[in-house]
Amino acid sequence: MKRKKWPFVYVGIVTAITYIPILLTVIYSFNESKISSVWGGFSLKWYEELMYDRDIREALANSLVLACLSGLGAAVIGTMGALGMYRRKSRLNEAVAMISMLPIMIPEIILGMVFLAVFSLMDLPFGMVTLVIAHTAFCIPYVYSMVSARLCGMDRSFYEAALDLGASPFRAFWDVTFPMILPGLLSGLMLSFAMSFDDVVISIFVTGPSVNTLPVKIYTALKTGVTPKINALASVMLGITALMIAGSAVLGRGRKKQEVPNQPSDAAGEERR
Amino acid sequence: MKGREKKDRGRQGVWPLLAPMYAFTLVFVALPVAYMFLLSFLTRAEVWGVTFAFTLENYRRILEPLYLGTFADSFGLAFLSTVLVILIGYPYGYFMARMNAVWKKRMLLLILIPFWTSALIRLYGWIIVFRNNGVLDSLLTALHLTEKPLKLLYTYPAVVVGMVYALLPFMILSVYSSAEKMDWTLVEAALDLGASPARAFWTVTFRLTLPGLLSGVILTFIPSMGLFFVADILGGNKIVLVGSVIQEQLTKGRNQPFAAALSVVLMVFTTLLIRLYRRITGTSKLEGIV
Amino acid sequence: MDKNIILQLKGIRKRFGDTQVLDGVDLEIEKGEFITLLGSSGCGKTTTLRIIAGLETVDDGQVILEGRDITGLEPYKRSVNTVFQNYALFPHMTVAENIGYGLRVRKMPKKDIAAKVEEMLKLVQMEGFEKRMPGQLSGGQKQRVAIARSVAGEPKVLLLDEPLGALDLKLRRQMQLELKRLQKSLGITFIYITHDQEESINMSDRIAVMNQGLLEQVGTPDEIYYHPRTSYVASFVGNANILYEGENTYAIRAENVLMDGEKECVREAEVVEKSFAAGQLRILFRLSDGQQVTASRHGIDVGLQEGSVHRIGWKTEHAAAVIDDGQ
Repeated sequence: MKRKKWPFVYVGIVTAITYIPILLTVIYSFNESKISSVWGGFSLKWYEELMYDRDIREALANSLVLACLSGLGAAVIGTMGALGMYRRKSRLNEAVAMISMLPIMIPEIILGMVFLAVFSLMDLPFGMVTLVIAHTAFCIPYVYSMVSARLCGMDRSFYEAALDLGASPFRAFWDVTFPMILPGLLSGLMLSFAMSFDDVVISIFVTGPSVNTLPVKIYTALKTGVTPKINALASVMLGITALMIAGSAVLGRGRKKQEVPNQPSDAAGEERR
Repeated sequence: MKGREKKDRGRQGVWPLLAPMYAFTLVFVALPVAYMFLLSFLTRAEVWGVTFAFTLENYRRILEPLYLGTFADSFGLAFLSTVLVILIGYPYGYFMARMNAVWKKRMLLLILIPFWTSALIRLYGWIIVFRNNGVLDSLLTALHLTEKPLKLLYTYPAVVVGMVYALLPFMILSVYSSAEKMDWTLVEAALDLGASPARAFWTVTFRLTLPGLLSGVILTFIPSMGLFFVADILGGNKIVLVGSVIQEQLTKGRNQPFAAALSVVLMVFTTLLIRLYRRITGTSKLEGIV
Repeated sequence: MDKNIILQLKGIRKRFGDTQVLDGVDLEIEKGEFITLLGSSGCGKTTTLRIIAGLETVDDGQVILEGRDITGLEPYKRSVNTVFQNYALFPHMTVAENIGYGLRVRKMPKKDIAAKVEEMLKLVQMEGFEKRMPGQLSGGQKQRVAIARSVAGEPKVLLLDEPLGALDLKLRRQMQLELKRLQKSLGITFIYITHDQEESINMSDRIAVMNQGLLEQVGTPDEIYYHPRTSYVASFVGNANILYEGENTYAIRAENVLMDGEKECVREAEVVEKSFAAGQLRILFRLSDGQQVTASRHGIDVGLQEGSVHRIGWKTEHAAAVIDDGQ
């Protein structure tokens, strides 16, 4: 088929429009002028102000702690689950895997409502604990599916070869299986981190009065009005998330590059020798 | 006999691995969702919380004109947004799938970044575009298309733009992932057999990418009724979605059972859509998730 | 017990779901021999191998290595190593790390490992490839590394699961000779799996023909080829014709079927079909009682018309009486 240009043009234009609001946010975060609709020259003063804002520093710390805890929690639970389910397939396992996917399948608002209702039923104090539980719930699917995908693509004979060569099951797991699922694990971990770090809908419902996360802070600030400081804050968040996603994408692609297709004949190898 | 023992030993070894996932999924996913269904039949307590008295009142209340109207408005907005998302997202996903490997990778990363960054922050940028004397106003004035600032922010079109913007990546990725798997020689075969390009597209490409399209609809249609913050940020208080009502009932109204009933209705819609999807495509796995 | 027996399988049974994969396999393998398990896919040969390696459990029976019952022993505690069908080279380790892996987990000193790895690379003629990753090797090179990795730990028995299956014909021939040479110089017992009867005849001291979870016949290539015990062995190894006469079953190989003129040619037969393969013309005859016989001749065409009737026959010593197992 002939290569036409206009598909590229179309994709290019839509992509560009997608990035316009993001770029504007970043550009205006460097705006000297307090009146945000007027460009008053380049300045870093809003970032400076951010640094001195205790509330925001606290919210940032909360968000980072939350993202790390729920990411790690999901990494541990999701990876172990994926390994267990890979080793023994059963109807029950499939059902549990399906249910564990619910948090990313149902609309966020429902998930938020569900957690709010259950936590108040359980009488859990709303705050970091409830946030971590809720975030872990929607992070597990990311880790689980990334690690599962790695495991499914993996030949069992690697593990068996290690056993065959004298490694104990634990050693074989550590030397062979783990390095092979690691890119999937890290990729899922980073995605989880990004999702947790950015979440606003669920956090609004399950956070307590004393704990603010960065997105919640932005959300409440937006309702009262737009300030350049929020621009700067949003830019910082965008930066952190973009970094995580880029990392996740690179790791997710993983080792594929190394795999050279089997040559049909050994001739090339013979010549090299 | 030794063999049996060994096999059993291997099986026991799996449980410690599975236990955390089983426990967490049961306690924090399955039970909460089940509780939501129960809750929707309970009565709100006078001051705070719920009393365990069975009632259908919550569902009756949804049928009140006020809330039925909200559902209708939400549906309308969801429908309009979904149609726009399909119109913009389908060709995008399709073209992306036809690019070469290098460009595919680049575009995937480009589209993934907004996909995984908070919709809230991305929407925030639209305020800068839409507000009075904002970027769009200035642009239009500079081009002498308008004379005085349009009141763009806090309007219905602004909310629609926000919705489309927030949901577009889901559609693109769904369509892309099913178009990517497609065997393009099938299209060539159709052309070779005498089909016009349009007919080949309709009878082959469209049919084979339908799972992606439908899965994109599932990922956009119902969620768009819940995205209360889009209506909040870009629509002011003028546009009320089901999601906004749920949020209001939970926070200000402190009426958990009613919020649960609203959520159940949304859940039922989602399930019906997924059912339909399963009927049409024959699989339950949605395209483009993770 | 015979001192020369290194490995014994006694009444091995294994069932997967509804399928009885192994139905009582008994086999004695001598020290230093090259024995091939030959059979078509699904006959249970790979399962047998995996049971010897300890990667599969048995439902019944015993595996005895040097007089010690190792039936329930974990794979990592057996001095038996495997060359996997797809090589199973660890993709995240270099060639040297792969070869040294078994020594590393056995806590051999680093210096000794390095020396051993070097020795192994030399053995399989892969010097200079230490730092390569498996992904950068060709099929034949991966093969060599996989073998080096398996023999580095000096196992008592080496198991090879169709190791040449993925290679092309020319390379396969070359590797057959190399493997044989390697086995001679190492003196390790090789248990080799293949479905290729030529390969088994070329390489083995003994061949064990497997069919439907049972050993049909165990013997030297000569015995298997010239004195097949069952009709399955005769047809699988020698591509022999199986003929029934009353109570008896005979196996006659195609090259031994005589045509026109010889005094043994006492049967009328019609030419059904002719085909040419590997330098031989194969002619399918139908006897008057309906049984079919294939004869082979050198050359492309010996002037036989399809549908023409000829007289065929064979010398009595070429008609081997076999047990009919309905194959």
